[in-house]
Amino acid sequence: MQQTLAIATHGLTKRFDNHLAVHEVELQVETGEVYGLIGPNGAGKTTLIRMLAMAEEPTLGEIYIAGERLQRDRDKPSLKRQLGYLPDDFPLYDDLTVWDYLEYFAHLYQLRDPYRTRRLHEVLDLVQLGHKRNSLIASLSRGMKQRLSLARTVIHEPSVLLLDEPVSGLDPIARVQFREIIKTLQATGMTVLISSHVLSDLAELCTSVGVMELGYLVESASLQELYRRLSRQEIVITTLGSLSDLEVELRHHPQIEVLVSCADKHQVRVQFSGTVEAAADLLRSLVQAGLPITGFHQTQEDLEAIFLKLEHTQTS
Amino acid sequence: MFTLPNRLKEKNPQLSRELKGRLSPRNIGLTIALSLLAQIVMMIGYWGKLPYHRDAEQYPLSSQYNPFCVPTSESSRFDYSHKCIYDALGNPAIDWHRWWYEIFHLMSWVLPLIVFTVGVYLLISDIGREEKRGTLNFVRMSPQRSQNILLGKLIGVPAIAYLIVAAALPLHLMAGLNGYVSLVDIGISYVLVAAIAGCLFVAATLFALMGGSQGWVGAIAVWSGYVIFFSAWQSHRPVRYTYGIRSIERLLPLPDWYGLKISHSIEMILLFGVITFSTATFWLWQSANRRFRKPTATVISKRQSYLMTACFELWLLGFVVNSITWNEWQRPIHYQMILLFANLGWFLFLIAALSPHRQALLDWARYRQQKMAEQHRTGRKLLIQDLCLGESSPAVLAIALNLAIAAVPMLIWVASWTNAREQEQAVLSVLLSATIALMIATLTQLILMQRSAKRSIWAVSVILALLILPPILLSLVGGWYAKSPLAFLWSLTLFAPYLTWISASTALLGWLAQVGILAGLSTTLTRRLVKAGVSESKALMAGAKR
Repeated sequence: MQQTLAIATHGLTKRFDNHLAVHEVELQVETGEVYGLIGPNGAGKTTLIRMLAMAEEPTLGEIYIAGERLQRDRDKPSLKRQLGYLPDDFPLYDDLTVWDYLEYFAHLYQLRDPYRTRRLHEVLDLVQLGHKRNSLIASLSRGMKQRLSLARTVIHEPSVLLLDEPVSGLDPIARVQFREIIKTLQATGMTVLISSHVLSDLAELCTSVGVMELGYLVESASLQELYRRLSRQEIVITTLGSLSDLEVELRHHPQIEVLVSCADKHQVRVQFSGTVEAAADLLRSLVQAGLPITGFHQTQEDLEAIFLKLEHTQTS
Repeated sequence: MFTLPNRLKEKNPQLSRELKGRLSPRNIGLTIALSLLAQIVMMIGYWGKLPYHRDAEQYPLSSQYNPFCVPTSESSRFDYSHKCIYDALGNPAIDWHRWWYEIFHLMSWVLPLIVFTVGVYLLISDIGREEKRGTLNFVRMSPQRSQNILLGKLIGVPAIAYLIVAAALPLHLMAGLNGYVSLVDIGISYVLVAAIAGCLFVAATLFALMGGSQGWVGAIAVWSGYVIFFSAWQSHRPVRYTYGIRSIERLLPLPDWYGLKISHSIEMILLFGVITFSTATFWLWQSANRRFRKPTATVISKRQSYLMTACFELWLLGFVVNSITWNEWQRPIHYQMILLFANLGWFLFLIAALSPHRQALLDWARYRQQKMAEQHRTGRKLLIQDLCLGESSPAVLAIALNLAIAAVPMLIWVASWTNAREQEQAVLSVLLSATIALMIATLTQLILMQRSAKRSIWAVSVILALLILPPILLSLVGGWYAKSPLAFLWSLTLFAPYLTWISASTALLGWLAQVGILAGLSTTLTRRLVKAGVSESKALMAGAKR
């Protein structure tokens, strides 16, 4: 079973003095997944990612990358080649040009020509920095530096990519660019573990989500499963006629749970527990009942709402 | 732009990165120009020291004193202020060999000083900065071997210092050959400088990997050490001018080593220096690599410490075995004091390098049982094994083992003495100083367990205060050792002479008191470790009940 998992941890614990930053985490990430790690500040996300990247030593527990045990004090070049890690502060060498910086890391990861040069061009295209290849890193904007760091992280084509708050501090356009790059990387088959506070980004990118609180991994499931379990649908119905007629008709429907009227907009908001087909039946029944329906808009609670609903918001 | 061969980039990317960043055409040009300018200034200075022309008509009989004149007679060759002789036109006869030798001599001292101080400064600043910024972590995560990365740093970071010296080597070589210095001697001196530079640079790297980032601290330390060594050398340099002559006097204040006359010839000094510095570099290199791979690890492992102590003790003992003719004024016990003093320094280093800090100790106390269970190991025997060899276990037992390793060769040497009273004193000295070392180790471990962020500074301050203050305070209140010898047994003292003033039973009494304090400190340490482990068990049990 472990062989098929890109990342697996057993009883992973990290303690700083008397403070438990990560407590007996059992994380399992399937190959090819984009796994989002969410949780309040200080929940242990960064510490967990640092341990997976070998930047921090666990107090207890084991980490397996593609079935191989990760140990910080042992030189395992094959294992190191499988990992790419982008921390939230992404330090760079300001005295180097973009090309020299990437070439330096390509050499560190023992890439040989002609593959090396081809790969350098590929990652520059991926992060859209080809036109800046001869610029000094010091002259790049924050978004560009962030993308350059990502290019450095994937230069050796790791099978597991660990991204810690990769979009923090970026403007909306840079965030969209970054999101697109992650999607491209996912398409190449990389397993991505990403922590972020921008839950809308994660909702768009991730296939699975883990929630951390007080150092514990309190929830870990596929996004579909989470939506199925915890996300409620809401339907906003607008009418030209009387709101009370609409309410009477709606109350007959068994799948409608909560009903809120908004008189000035001629709208009723209802929480609906049925399927898409059931929603279509509801609309049909309202029209057949002769109600002058002008709007019928179905929405679903997003990841942010689910996260708040889970109430795992305590810091460690 | 300066381009490096692709082979070098593939072989050692770190070296290529360092060279590329530093050896820009502008830097190369400036460095060479600066080096040449300094050489020109030096040559002008030495040109000015040459004897000047004498107006034979105006001053037919006058003469000047100048060290670069051809001496009037062979007997005055060794007189630094010999008179000059002139030809009919009043031109002084110049001893060019001697002039070139002086230039060679000056450069032989200045060039290593430049390499050492500039290199150490650059290495500490560079690695310290990378460690602080976090860029070194990415290099660590790459599949490159730590040796490769550190070697790249060692060769690449001080590149400018190497260039300054390389630009001056042609003149240095020319001066040496013109000053009748053999090519072999010049070659060995280059090897020695390389060995010392290697040792200092690896030590600087280790210092930076341990968190030091102030390059000037290292540069000042190297400068001071160099000046002290230079003074020692100069004070032992024969007054007579020695070029071309093999001096039979000692060139350095060093005794023989296992009977080898290491300080009687330049070749032996250089050879001994190369072997000593190479051995030190080997051990420092092990530590630097260990620390690079695992920044939270202690500087050396317990296993390494035993070998290092054995190495150090055998090296140290060489200076007193078969090398000194004992007489009334040179008793072996006096030399044992020097060994004990050197050992005190060694053990202070070992205690600092072996003692794990608070986090490692807490984790060890809390999770040792669990980790042993994971590895299917149990039992008391394994606790002792863990204390002797474990990575994060307290260092006290390992220090005790190191003390035993240090004591054995010393006691074998003591057994070869002929004076039974001195032997008794020597054994007591070993016992007393070993117990003090253990007390320091236990106290250090206790201080390193404190919650304070500045616990290392606390540990250094407390230990230094305990070692230095008591003798000062005692001498201030007039308690000189003749009056209260027992009091001195507690502090930084060269124990043996005080023991000559007191009886063996009094010394034993002092030792028993030391053992009492050591027992108290050990109990406190054990209690704290047990408490740390128990509090974790309670938390785990509370968690299970929940």
